[in-house]
Amino acid sequence: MRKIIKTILILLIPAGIIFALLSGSVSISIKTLFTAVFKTNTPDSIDAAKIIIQYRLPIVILAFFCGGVLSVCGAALQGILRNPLAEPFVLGVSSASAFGLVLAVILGVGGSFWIRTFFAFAIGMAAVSFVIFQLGKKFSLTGIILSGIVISSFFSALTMLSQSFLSPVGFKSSISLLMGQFSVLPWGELFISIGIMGVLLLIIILKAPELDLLSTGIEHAKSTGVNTRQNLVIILFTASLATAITVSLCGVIGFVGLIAPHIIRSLSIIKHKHLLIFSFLGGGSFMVISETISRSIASMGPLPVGAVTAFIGAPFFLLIFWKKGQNYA
Amino acid sequence: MLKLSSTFVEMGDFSLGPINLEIPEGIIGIAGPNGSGKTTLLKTILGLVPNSKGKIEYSGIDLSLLTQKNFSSKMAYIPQEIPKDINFSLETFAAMGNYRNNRHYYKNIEKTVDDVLNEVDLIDKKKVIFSNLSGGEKKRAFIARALIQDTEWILMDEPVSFLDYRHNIIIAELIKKLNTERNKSFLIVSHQVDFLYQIASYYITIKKGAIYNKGKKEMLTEDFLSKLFEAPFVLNKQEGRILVKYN
Repeated sequence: MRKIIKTILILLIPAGIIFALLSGSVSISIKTLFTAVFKTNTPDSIDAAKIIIQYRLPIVILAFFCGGVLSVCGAALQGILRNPLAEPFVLGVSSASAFGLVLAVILGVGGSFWIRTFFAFAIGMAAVSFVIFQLGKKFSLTGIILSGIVISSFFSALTMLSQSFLSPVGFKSSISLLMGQFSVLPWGELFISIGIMGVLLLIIILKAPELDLLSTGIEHAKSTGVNTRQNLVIILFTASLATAITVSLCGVIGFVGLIAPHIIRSLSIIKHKHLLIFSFLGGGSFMVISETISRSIASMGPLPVGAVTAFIGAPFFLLIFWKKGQNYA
Repeated sequence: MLKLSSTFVEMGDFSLGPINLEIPEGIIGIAGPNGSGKTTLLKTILGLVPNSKGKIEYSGIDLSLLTQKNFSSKMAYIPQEIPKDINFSLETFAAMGNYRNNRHYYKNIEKTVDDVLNEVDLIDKKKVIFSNLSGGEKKRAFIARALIQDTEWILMDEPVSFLDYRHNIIIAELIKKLNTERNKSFLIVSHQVDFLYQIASYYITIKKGAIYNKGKKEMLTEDFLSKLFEAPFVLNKQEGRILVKYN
């Protein structure tokens, strides 16, 4: 049974990607997609290839990576904080990065991808450094979670305060930035972004054995030989860095980092080596499907992706929760 | 031998020590009433208490100078409270003791895991999820992990406090067997002095954050225990049993 579910999960990835490439304001049939890939000389297929390569493929790749990164970070944080409710945003990085985005809009530099990204990233990391600094002073998991909540509330308040100074147009663009949207990136910027995310992902995945031991409790990990402080700092910092990058690329998209790891765990995939890899694939597919729905469903422009992930995610999550009980959490 | 020199810990209102103590090999019991500092002492030895002062030596080596990996090759820890949300299978959990030898702890360890699970009589449960084991089985799972960690010392905090009588006996027999057959030393914190009395060869008693007394079994007289625990004790030397008298 588990094998069947895993196979379905793996098949879902190409299915989701093909679905994403075909859907949108101009729908493309599977036949056109194939002629676009294999024969590029018919006028229909030239148009289709243009839409796919210039517009849809970059968005699908970006959405897949952002979703994957968020769920890997969620899985890692749920492990080390030993809290099933942890998600990549628990340390306050998202609120801080979101404030960075709004600040860029206020200062009138929100149009430039690199400046916007820099603002989101710099403020996100400043906030997280503060939380991680707590580790050096007095270490406690509850302390980390509480500082994260305080940081989160503080920057949410700053964001709302700043938004009230924006013009209606600026306000609308800040809302769609914050609630999650994927915009088409030039291929160069796309490769740099996914390259950085890839390196951060690799660092977290290489920490899988330590995550296994840390997830049984800090004292257990320490007494079996894990350098707990060093590993916690590396994992928290890398996960925050990766999360800050996703926020700067697509805004704050919740739920992916929370539910994708839970769904994978419910399949009895517990060792982090597998949990992280499957969370990446699952979270990526979930994000691609949500993004596709967000731009296919509304005629007057894409819906916020964060709203779609919560809309699909919440009932799905409840369903597995009811079916499996709370044991796997 | 473990040697503590001027070990001192301060935690809010409570302080432990300064303690100067030499702990010989064998099955060593640390007894004392609730809140006397037994667990704090055990965790201080394990390096789990931040800001503890003084020096702790293991066969002449200053433990504070060791890396975490080296430290974990000297002593293993079996805590009192066992987290209930560990969802690894028993075999994976036990294999974690191998981390100090190999980061990829689950590699090339299957046979050792099987042997150890046989030894603690849990081989039939090796595929069972840890959180689905019973309290006594969980304790034995921790002992299995400690055996894979392969240390000379195993430090246990209240090993039988949540267990029924049958499991008390199972754990006691296992500790005795590992001491004689595998030459493992145990440092066991317990307020259940009747349990310690069945297995320990040397006793350290603690009260109000200070060493109350230490010595062999002969030290534990009715009068001594009654004063230590402020409760009436009855000692049946012929049967080798300690009982608490309820009025």
